[in-house]
Amino acid sequence: MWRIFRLAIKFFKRELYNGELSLFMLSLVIATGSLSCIGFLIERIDGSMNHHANQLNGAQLVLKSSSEVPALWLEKAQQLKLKQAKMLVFPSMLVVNDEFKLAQIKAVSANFPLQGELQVKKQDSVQITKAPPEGEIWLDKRLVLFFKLSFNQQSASTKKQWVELGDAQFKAGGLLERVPGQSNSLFTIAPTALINLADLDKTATIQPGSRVDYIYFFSDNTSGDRQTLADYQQWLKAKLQTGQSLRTGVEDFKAVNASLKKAADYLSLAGVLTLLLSAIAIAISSHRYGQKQYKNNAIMLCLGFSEKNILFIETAKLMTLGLIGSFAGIVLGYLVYLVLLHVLGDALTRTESHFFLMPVLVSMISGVFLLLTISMANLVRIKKLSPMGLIRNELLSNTSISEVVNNKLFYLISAAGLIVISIWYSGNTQLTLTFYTVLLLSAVFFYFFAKLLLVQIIYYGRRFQLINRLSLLNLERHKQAVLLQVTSFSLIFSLIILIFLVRTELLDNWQKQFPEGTPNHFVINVQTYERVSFESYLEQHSIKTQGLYPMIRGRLTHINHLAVNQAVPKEARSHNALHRALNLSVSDSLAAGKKSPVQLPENTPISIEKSLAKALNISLEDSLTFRVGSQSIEGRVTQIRQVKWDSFQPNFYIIFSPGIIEKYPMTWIASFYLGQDDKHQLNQLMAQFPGITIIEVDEVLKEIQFIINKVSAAIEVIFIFIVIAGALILSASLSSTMASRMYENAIIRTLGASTKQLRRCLLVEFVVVALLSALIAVLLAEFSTYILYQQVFQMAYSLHPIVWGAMVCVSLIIICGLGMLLVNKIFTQSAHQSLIQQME
Amino acid sequence: MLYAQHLAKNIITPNARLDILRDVNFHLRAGETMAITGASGSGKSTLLSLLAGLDTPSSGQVKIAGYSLSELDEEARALLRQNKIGFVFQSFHLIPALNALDNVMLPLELKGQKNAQEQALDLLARVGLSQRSDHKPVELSGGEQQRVAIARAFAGHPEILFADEPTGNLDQLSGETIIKLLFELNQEQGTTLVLVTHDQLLAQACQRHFYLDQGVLNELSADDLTNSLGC
Repeated sequence: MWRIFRLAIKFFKRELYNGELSLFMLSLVIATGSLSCIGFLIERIDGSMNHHANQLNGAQLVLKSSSEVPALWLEKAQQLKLKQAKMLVFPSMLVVNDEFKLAQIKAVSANFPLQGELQVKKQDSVQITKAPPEGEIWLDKRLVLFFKLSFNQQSASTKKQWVELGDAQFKAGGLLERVPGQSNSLFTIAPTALINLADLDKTATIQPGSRVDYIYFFSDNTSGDRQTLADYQQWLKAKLQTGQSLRTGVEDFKAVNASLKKAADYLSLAGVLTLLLSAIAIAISSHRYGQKQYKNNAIMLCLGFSEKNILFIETAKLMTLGLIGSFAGIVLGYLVYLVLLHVLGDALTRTESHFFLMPVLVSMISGVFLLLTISMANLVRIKKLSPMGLIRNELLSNTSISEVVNNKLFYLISAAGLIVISIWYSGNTQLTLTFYTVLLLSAVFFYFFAKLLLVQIIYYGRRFQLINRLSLLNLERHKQAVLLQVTSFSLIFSLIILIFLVRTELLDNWQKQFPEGTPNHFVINVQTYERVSFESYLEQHSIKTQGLYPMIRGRLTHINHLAVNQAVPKEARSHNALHRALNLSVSDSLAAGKKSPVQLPENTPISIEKSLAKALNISLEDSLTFRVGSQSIEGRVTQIRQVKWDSFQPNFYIIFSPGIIEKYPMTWIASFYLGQDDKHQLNQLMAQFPGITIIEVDEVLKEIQFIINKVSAAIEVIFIFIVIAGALILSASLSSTMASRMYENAIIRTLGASTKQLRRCLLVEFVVVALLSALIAVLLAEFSTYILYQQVFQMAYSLHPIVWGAMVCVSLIIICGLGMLLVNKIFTQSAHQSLIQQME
Repeated sequence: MLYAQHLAKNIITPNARLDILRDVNFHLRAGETMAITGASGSGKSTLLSLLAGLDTPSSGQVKIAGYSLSELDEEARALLRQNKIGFVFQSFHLIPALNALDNVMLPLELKGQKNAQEQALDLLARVGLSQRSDHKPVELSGGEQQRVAIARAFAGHPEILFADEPTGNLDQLSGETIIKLLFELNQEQGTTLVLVTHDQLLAQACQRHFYLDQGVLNELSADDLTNSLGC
């Protein structure tokens, strides 16, 4: 066997040297190159997003508890050599020159934050630092404005500013610009003040019974060792009790998550699409290579090699080719990725690592696997033929579709493998399966549709003499080849349209999502008697609001008259909604969403948010019971509603129809936009309405906008890269059909066809292929986009007529232009030469 | 019908000039049959492609049916091939994607003849392949493929037919069938026949026999032939 292997390597070297493998190697390098490059970018964006979330969180893992956690938990983290920081959050009164203000005090350990930037303004400059030094307090803008403090150079040098907190006095050391690790999902309810944890005892503000949040931060000690942290997270998760929660990455930031999920889905789609394009490129090259090998294999059969030996040699050659080609592709992909990183500037630089293993593995495995399975589908056919048959090129000449798809098993293995790799690569099973199912079904449908159209073109072309006779005959004869080309071209085109449409729609949606004046403040606890005066206050101060919404606190107690813990599935019992009071609201328009067909007047109609309904296994017509105060309200679900959590409007899990719950005590919620320079108005608002609570979300909004801007830039780059990869594969696909065209046309020239006749025939064929490909591509892309928008991206769908026109033009230019350019060789060399070349 | 005057073909290689054909001269009348023999690599196929206008000479000229090929552009040469010339190749050169009938119909369709299918079927019957008309080249034996090629060559009713080693790829029996067919059709249609061959018997069957030696073409006399056959 070793002898045969050595022979295989010798053949490989010779074929590589002679250039027989050049084209194959090139397409493999392009395929794995684009796959790895996009894979690196996706990992990088993903890493960047997580890194960004960690910066928001202040660490990779955050544990929040309403009491001190057992010492064992922290010791365990220490044993695992995880970095730790601690924060205590509690409300307390601050006093400056006899003025009092309730603030959210954050006492942090000296090494806080583990990740992210704590920004503080001191003497006109913003510094990035760790916790305040002992004896110092840092205040946010609202407190600074309220207490009329100043941190410019002049004031710092003239007098010291003192702030009292409990029994202790602190020097006002700086203006807080940014604090990572915001509790309560980033929302700052009261103005914030930051002190060093070591000063906490001096203040004597925490007494038994005080309401304090204990927040513990954990991060990897060494970058890249995520497993230890993941293990610790699992360990902690099992020990969590009521009032304790874990947060990691972006998972808990609903508003951030909704936006980023779409970006992540897009990237997954881009990954799957690149993989599919790569598979097409490898399939084309493998098929051509396989055909070229028939004669060599026949000669070897005649020389006494067994079929087994030949298959071993071919497998060894393909493995070597696959490994070398994939490796070269990955290196190329990595280099292009580094260039792209440079081009993107600081957009994606905030991660710990440049290099990721996943894209390397996926590219290598995809390259070698697809190469082997697709090539084998061609090569195993030698078993069916005699050596003489092979020498006579019996397979070579046979191009019918039934022959091409002869070895179904290998093609099935390739297809199944491709789907498995796609799922692994994208990490998104639903998206991948939806994508392949839609594509497969529509491709089959549109293949037959294209066939029907082609028959009609030939029929009407002949009947009305629209196309010259010879071109028609040419089309008729090459019907099968034309259909195969239309199928592959339209597939490539449709993938590019698909990624273009999703990209455009996504960017457009994001831009529309946060227009100028998107609400960045929420006000809660507005009492019913204050409502009118509150609204008129906002109006007088030109603060725009989308209106006030009623809010009633109620706890879900029963589902279909069963206690919630019994009614919901076991895995949903820990759902947050079951352990806290929900905000119920009232609306007279339960219009949008999935509605119950049956309206029962005796029941109180309830609208429920889709994800909550799904988590708790609640469906239409289910009865829900809430406890509001000491009373119970029962209602029936008549609507399941999609909520846009990233809209920055007040959203509710549960909405009642009017006239039922208004009799219970309720407060009102509103959202509005306030620029950074108008922050002082918050203090005036608070002074006017002391009972209200203001939640500032500008930080989170800024973060989302930052991430979206950067991800948008990355998406643009990935799109351009996919288009380039698609164009290369398209030209490879077109040139793969050229050999047979050249041969046929050389024969027809010897029979006396003029250049003009041949050009016309080829042009008609290319125009028909281009038009059919464009038509099918547009239909395929529109259909797939519709399904993906509905199923995955939850975006509104509309037809894209501009894309149709553009596709026809692009298709004509590429297929006709490139096609005529490639076949031009037929006309520039003698027929004799063409025949000799084709025989070789 | 066919004139070759001072015909030469050479190739310039990086090291030297390679003369494939040197000063070839002959004249063939309509209806005559001509065989060109010679050792492998002596330039037989190149000469045939120059005579048929499939390639251009380095110097000299070829006249077919009164037309000087060097004075015609590619379009005119194509028209000449379409109307007056037929080909049979050693490797058959049938279009793989087309069946036997379609292959034979091709030259007729090029001319725009309306009854192309009938004519093609007649010719297939003439070469004994009416039962195989819907078979593709891969489904036919070598002899059958060459018979299709002959039917295709005669479909355009050529005035002159060039055959490049038409029996070179065939067994003896198939070869004999092909030779027989070529001469029969030649007789029926009054076609001038130019054959390149290694087969001395086939060459003998031609009225005139030329021998190509290192690019120089010489016509063999009856005595030469007798000597070459060892008689």
